[in-house]
Amino acid sequence: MWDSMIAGFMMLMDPFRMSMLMLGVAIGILVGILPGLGGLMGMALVLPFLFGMDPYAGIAILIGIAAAVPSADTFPSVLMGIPGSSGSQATVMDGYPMARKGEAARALGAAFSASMIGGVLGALALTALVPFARPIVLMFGAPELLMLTILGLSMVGVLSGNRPVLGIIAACVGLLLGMVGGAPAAPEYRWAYGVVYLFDGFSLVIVALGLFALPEIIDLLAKGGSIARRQPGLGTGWMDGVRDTLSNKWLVVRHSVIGVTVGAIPGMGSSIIDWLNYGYVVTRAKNKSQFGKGDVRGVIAPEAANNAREGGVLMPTLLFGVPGSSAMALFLGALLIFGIQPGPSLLRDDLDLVFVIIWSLAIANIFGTLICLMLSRPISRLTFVPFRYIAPVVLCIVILGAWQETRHLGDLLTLAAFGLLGWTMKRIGMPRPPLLVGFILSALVERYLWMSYSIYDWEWVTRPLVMVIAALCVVLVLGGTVMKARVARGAVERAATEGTRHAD
Amino acid sequence: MTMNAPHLRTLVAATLAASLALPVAAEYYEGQTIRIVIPFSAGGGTDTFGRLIATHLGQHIPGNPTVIAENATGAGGLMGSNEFFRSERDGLTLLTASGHLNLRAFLGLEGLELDLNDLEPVVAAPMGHITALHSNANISEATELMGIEGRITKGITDPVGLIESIVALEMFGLEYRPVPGFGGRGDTRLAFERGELMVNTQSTPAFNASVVPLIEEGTAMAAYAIGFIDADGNPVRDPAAPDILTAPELYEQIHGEMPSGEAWEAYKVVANLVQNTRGTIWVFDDAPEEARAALRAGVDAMVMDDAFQAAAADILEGYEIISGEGLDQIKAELDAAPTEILDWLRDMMTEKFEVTFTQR
Repeated sequence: MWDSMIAGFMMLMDPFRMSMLMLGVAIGILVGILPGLGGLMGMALVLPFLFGMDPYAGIAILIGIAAAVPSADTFPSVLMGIPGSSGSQATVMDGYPMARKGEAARALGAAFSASMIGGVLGALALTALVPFARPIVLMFGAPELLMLTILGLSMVGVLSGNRPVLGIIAACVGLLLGMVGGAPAAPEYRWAYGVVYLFDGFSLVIVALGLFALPEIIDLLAKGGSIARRQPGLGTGWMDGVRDTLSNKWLVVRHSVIGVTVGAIPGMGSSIIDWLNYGYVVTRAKNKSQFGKGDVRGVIAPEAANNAREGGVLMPTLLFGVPGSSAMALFLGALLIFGIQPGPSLLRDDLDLVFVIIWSLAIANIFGTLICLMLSRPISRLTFVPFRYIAPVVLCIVILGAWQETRHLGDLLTLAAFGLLGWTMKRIGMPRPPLLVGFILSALVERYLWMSYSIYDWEWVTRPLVMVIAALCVVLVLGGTVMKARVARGAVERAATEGTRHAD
Repeated sequence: MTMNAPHLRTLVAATLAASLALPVAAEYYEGQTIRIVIPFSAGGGTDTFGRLIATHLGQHIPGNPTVIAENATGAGGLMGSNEFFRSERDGLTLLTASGHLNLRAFLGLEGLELDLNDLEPVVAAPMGHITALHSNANISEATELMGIEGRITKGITDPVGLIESIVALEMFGLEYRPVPGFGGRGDTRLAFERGELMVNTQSTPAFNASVVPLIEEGTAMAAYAIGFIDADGNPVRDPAAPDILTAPELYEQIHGEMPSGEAWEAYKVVANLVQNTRGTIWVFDDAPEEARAALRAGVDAMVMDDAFQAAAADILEGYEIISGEGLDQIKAELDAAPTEILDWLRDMMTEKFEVTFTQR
């Protein structure tokens, strides 16, 4: 293992690969700053350019994006109260009030230092898992994987904020949309009506671009002006922010651990981890009076967690080939493009590659946060560029990204349809993340259910690990709802499911 | 033009036969672009083969056309192959198909427009498959195959895509339990390693890379290779795994006689059709004769080129490119496949896996 660790590091130190990692970080920072565009979009946009590239360089660029987004998306959250991506919604709660008090620099300093520590801890957690990877993988048969995906689905309640009914409807719609096309366990096409384009079902990339990117672009354009309102300035106090993080070091560690753990559950999505951690830090704090008004702990907790999360989501992705998040579903696709088959054989036969991924994650986190910290003045100026100059570029990228899927007219129609759906949902306040979770997990649930039944008949229900995860599902559904209700009573209410409504 | 038509035809035929570098053929592709449609995503086995040909073929075709490879993915090759089938039959559009796509077209899978009767192979490459058993089958020799106790679980992806392994099980008459829902052969290997699947068939290169380590640690054993069938109907060992018995050889060891009956006839059709055309470049057989002649000349020159051979050796992993007479044999085997055996295959697929076909 140590050999592989060093070998992986040396592989990554190749100048081309390092520059690709840095390019990934730069792209990640850009898409992180643009509201509505997250790691999924960043990866979707570069994916078409990776064909034929050196696999290690390609992986570096993707991990660079995944690692930098949760750092950079803090800018819009703090500076303008709009989450830069779904992973930093909770940061708005205390980050934005801090900015309005003239403490933007302190909030950013705390956020970035917490992000860096969280990201590195995430990479460490992934490393710690490697020696146990094979036994863990062999423990997880089809029934256990089925329960993991159900665990992901049971998070829908938490994902839905204070609108659980709308959230559950959205998740069901997602499950239904996920069924379009070739059935996972029978040679038949559902709801395709003989249209060959629909035989494969809807593409995840297009669904995600339509649901999240298009509505954001439309609303920002309609609102006019720049992403952020002119403000008094960032203020000073960067070091105060860093000191805040260091003096709350156990808070950082605790929430990094939560971030990794929750991230390791497939389908949990980035959009709940920050809320979960925010809720937790509020319930555990002795002095709650300042939360929602600019308590720095409300920035540190979600930011440490959302960077640590990337270490977590990589676990099921690499171990089982089950994507830990929607962005990881793309990463998985990219690995297959490079001819790399994720799963236990990867950990046995190509441990060097696993360490290239881990090193990329650690290094990208460090550089991503350092760049954000050092270039925060020029970067934060980006948010003052009138959005009408940015929108055409982003729109082109979105359309190109969708068109790359099959280069069929259907791609564009699907994008438009899901854009309309996403915009409508945003307007009526229906949370969109549950729809995506339902969409992604739909085929997996069906697949694993068939496999479990075909292999074990109903014996699968009695397997010990199945029962443990089932219990966990119940705890999560109940616990999530209770915690949510508690947090919702506070200031969260306004911004809950979709922080952007806050800015409308 | 004062020459009468038959005379012209004889003349063209004569000149074609006389020389490959004749101006007619050279003019046909001069300054043209040949598009090779690859109906699968980039990076897969079929794509790698298509791109290998796309990279090398152009410089050997008289007139040096530009050759570009284009991935048109979707619906297990349906989208791209349908797109190809609707294109102009002018020899400027070619198709890269996998063995299983060829078989789908051959059996007439629903939604697929491709008809192999309208096509002519330009170049092809073979690839074998090997079946392994998990150690929980609890036998020490492959010859004890028929004595396995417990559920013989077999992972099913797209059943037509596994046809050679299914027909082999049918030939042995093994009672196996299909487990549907797997995304691809890679996924089945994982469940095989966990012991959830007892029997698993992989392409020989994948077997060598990912199942052999399991055999070495005692988790699995090699059962049989699908192998190839020679012109007389006898089994031929897989050149990339010559030490592993083929399924008919194993059958003979178990039962003391060669297999017979419909399953065996189907096996002979399927083993060659799927495995000899692992990658096939097709052109319409009613494309202009000078185009097809130029393509043939290009392939013949390409396979002699050292640079191509070096590149091909890396990609084909122990197999030889099929060109010239080998292609005629593929075409002949396609034509010779008995109708009742194809019906048997369709019925078996429909009955066991609910696959529907459209009769041509």
